Parts: sequence; structure tokens; C-alpha cells
Amino acid sequence: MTDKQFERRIVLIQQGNKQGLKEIYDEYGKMIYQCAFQILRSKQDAEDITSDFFLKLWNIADTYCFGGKHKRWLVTIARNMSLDMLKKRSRELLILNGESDEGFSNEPADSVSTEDTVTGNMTVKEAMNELDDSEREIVNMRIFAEMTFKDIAAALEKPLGTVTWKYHNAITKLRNNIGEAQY
Amino acid sequence: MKKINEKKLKKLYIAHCESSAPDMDSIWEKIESELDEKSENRVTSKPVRTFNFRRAAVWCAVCAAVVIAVPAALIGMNNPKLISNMSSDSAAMDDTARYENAGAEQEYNAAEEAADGDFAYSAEEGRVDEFTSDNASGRIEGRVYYSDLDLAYSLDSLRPREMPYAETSGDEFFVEDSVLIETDVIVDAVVDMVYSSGNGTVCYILKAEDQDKNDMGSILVESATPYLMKMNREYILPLKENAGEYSLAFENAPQMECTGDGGVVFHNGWESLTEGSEYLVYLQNGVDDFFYDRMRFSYIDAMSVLTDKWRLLKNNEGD
Repeated sequence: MTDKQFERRIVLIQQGNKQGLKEIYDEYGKMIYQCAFQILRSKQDAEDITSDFFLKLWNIADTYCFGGKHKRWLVTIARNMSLDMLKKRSRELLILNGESDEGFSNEPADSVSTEDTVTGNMTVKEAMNELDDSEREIVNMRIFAEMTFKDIAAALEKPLGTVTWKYHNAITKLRNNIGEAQY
Repeated sequence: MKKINEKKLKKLYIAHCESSAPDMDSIWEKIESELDEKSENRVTSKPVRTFNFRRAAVWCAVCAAVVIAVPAALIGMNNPKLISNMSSDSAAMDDTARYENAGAEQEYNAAEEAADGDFAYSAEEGRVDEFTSDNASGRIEGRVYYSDLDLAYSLDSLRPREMPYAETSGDEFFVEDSVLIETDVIVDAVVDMVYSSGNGTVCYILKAEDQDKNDMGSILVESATPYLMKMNREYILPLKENAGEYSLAFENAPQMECTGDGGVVFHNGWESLTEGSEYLVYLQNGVDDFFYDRMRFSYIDAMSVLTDKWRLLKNNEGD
């Protein structure tokens, strides 16, 4: 979706037309989910962020700065929401740990499922779990969200050089881990 | 062993993301049902539009031409002498109009340049006007709007695109305790002067008082943050001090801004201040503003609250 097409959908939302939101959801729903998942590492939380995100978008469409880069805007909001939830979750975890041992687990996501693409001795999912948090985010933004390095740097508030360096490091790790098997 | 190539890796990753995505239809159903509940309360508004200086200038010129040229043509047809006199008069008027339009043209150029570049046009007066007029009907009851706050008059002397690129220093993620621990002095300061250092940073001359109300006189703070502070405005600033030189304790966020009636504008990273605060509708100041949807407003005595916490943290650190 181009910036112009996105702006047309935003105008629809501003007019109270749900179709505008639906079309943005169809285009970017999975991207928002993946952004949230890379930070929260929980399917349920990422789903919650995805639905909250689009409800928020419905409410804040009036504040969209026309002429801006929409993908960067969407990812930044989704990221902020995920970080807020992560912060809240770690506070809850502290309280739970103080009261009981049955806190919720902060372990990375869910166990490997059969639907994952096995390409060797590591699936894509396992190989992704070997990356650090920021590497995972960068890989996801670059490959799945198809963002430019400049937009990624802006969304993560990191220097451009750091982002490209981390990306290439991550790709090397992924290639090694996945390729070591019988691909 | 043969390594997987990057193209194949990308394909695999996209396939992995697609296959591990949740049921998007059911999430949409959830969103839609919540929207239906809220739809009656939804306040619609017109899209944000910017004032088109060029169009306005063209319309003014056309009107002026009609007013001047039509009577002149009618009179001149009967009196050729009058035409030459009027020509010199209109030339003088053209000069005056050029000077008068220069300001508008300059504004237009800034807006056009901003549209071409990465940054949105951010002259504050423009933002406030478009927000109060075009979106007046779109206001949501119970929300505080930045443009309504009692803020000192300020004409931005610098815009983000005028700043050369410079890396901000310090942490990238805001954590209140960490920022306060790094703080050497908390000041209540009014921005007296703003200028570009020429090496990618902005220099602020501040008239400052410290947390104990001691007058610090004028101090210089140099910063690379794109979240510019504005002339004449008052801020509460946690600062670091090194051999008499001051810098912002946390650069990558908007600083706490004071209003004339004792309120304070801040982002939600300042957890000690958020209780009882209100969500602030704050227009995004360019595409690099990542905090505009996290801004809060409160009448809390931010200076006292933060000073108390800062002292506590410093004491604990000393222990």
C-alpha cells in the first residue's frame, strides 16, 4: 500500500467508515502481529496488541500527519504499545514472584510446532530464537514488513549503521544455523 | 555443508510468518464488535489539511488584477494619459505586494520543502491554527488538547530539517529511575535563546533555577535531540553536569514543559507523574516524533515529586 492509498483509508476512517480500517487491517494485520510478537514473545499478547492497535488506530486517525511515512508510523505505534505491555507484564511478574511461585513464564513463546518449516537441524523459528531481541525485530521489519533500513532506524531510534550491522549479523547467524543441516 | 542463500532464507522466513500467524478473521471480528459498541460515541472530523499559501496568493493576485485592471481598462479607453500614470503606480504597488507576499512565499516554500523531504512542516503557529479551526468539530470530550494549553508565545527558530544529522547521546529507552540516577541537577528553566551549533547540535541558553530554587543564571545546554525545546517556554530538565558543562540527562524524548497555569506536559515514561494525569492530544511533530501519542498533562508539582525521588535514589545509591 502506498502512502497515498493509506491516506485515503485514513480519510475513510475519519469519516467513520469501517471499510478504511478493514483494508488497512487486511494489508498490515499480520505485520502488526509479528512486530508485537517479536517483542512480547507470546502469541496471546501479540494478538491482544493487534486488536488493541486497530481500535487505537480508529481513535487516533485524526492525528495522522498526512505526507508522512505510514509504515514507519504504524510500526512505531505497535512497538510502543508492545513495549508498554512488556513493561506492565514485567511489573506484574515482579508482584507475582513476590506472592507465589506460579508467575507466568517469560520464556520465549511456544514450543516448536509441526507447521514450522524444517530446513535442517534448526527450524526458522528455532534459528530466530537464537537471535537477540533487537536482531529479531530488525530481521522481521526488514524481511516481513519490507521496511527500508532508514525507516527501521527511525522506528527503533537507533543509528542507521547499527541497524544495518545488526541485520547482517543476524542474517549470517540465520544462514549458519539453518544451513548447517541438510538443506 | 552448503549454506542457505539469503533469497531462500527470506522466502522461508515469510512462509514461517504466514504459517504462524493467528486466525486474522477472528481478530477482526473482535475488533469489529468493539467498534460497533463504540460507534455511537465516535466523533468524526474532517481530515487535517494544511493552508495552501500559493493558492491563496494566486487568488489574491487575481482579485487585485480584476479590481485594478477592469476600471483602468474602462477609463483608459477614453484617456490614454491616465494609462501611463497608472502603469507606474501599479509598478510601485507590485513592489509593495512583493514585499508583503515575501513572508507568505517563505512560509509556502518551507511547507513545500518539508513535503518533499522527510520532515513534516512543523511551524507551531500553523499546527495550532489547523487544529483549532479544521478539527474544531472533531474534538473529543474529556481530552486535553496541547493547542489549548496556557503556553508562552513562541515562534520556532529552528525546524528539524534545519538540523544536520547528529547522533543523540545516552540511552535509547527511557527508564525513569535510570534517568534520575544519571541526573546531577534538576532545573526549572526558561529557554532564552536557541541556535544551531553548526556541527549537528542545537545550543540552548537557559535561565535556570535548580531544585532548591537557587538562581543558576544563564547556562548553556547543547543537545542533538530532534525534540526541540522552544524559545520563551519553561521546562523542567534533569541535567548532567561535567566540569561546568550541562547536558540533558535523557535526550531521546520530549522534555517536560510547564504551562502558565502551573500544569506540566510530559511523556508517560515519567511514571511518578502519570497518576491522575490526563491523556494529551498532541500533534506529531514530524515523522521522527515517536512520543506524540504518549503525552500526558497534569497539574502535579513535577519538580517536587521528581526531586524527592531523585534524592531518594541518590541516597540509596550512596548506601
